[in-house]
Amino acid sequence: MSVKKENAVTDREILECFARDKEAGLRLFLDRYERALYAHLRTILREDGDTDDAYQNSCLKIYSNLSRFEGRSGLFTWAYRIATNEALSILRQRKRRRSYALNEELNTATDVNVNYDALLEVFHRAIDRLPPQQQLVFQLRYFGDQSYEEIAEGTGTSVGGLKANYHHARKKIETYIIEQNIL
Amino acid sequence: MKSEYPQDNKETFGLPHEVIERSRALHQKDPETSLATHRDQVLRQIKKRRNSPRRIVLWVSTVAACVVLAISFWPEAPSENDWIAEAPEDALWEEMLNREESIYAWMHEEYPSYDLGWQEVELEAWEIDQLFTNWSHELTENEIFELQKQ
Repeated sequence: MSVKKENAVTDREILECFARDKEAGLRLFLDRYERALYAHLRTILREDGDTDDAYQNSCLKIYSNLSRFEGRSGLFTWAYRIATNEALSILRQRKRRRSYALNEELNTATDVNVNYDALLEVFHRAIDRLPPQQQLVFQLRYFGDQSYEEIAEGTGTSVGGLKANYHHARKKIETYIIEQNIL
Repeated sequence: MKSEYPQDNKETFGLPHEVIERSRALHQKDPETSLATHRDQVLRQIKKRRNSPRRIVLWVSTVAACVVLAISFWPEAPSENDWIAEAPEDALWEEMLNREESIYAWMHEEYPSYDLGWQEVELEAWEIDQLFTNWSHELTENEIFELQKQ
């Protein structure tokens, strides 16, 4: 997994800089990867507050663990994994937080005046109801346009498992939208 | 790496195309707070963590715990009276009991029964104490006998 940027510093330069001066190393890392990292989290989390929290936590974890990075993968792949885990934990919290609220809203879903906002709300609700792993794969593939191979490399899971998760996610979203009877 | 880009993400689940596009735009939206601001906040948190009293307290308590552990495990030379503090193995314990019995038998032979006043009783009790104390130091029967005569 790589992030292309012309005249960008290399991973080696970032690591060497970090070994000399941690803060300068982090700045260099962020110069190179902050946009990609934020976009990755945004794709999974969609909401401003959650994405901001996940982004800052990921940066702090990257800073704390960069000295232990062994170079067995690319630096961005490693950071992508940290960020993905952070996003997953937020998805889990969000699921617990919203389970009650979603059940409350189900009864009123058919009464809403059907417009794009309402349809968008139903679509997002269908995504939010998915188990966190399925949600993660669906968002990265559907909105992030990532291939299974890229997701597998970044999350350390198998392509087969990802395909199965994506398939289940699609089916569940489809079923939920049909059940809402809004189309 | 073979790159298989998704063809199935054009599916709209029966929703109008505009809805999907609006959702996609939300998922790909730029941050409301600039990344430079985020960076400043992250660096500020790093500095705060580095100087936080909690971190200092953590360091001090870790060091203190290590010192206490080191002191508690420091090997000590056993004092003369500490012999009983070490729990004997079963076999050793049995041997000690056997030896105790034999000492009682020996005492019985050496000291024929006669009437004792309370002072003598006390003296004998003290002597028996001495016997057991010294027996633990591996005195021979003769040495114990000598001790009795003192």
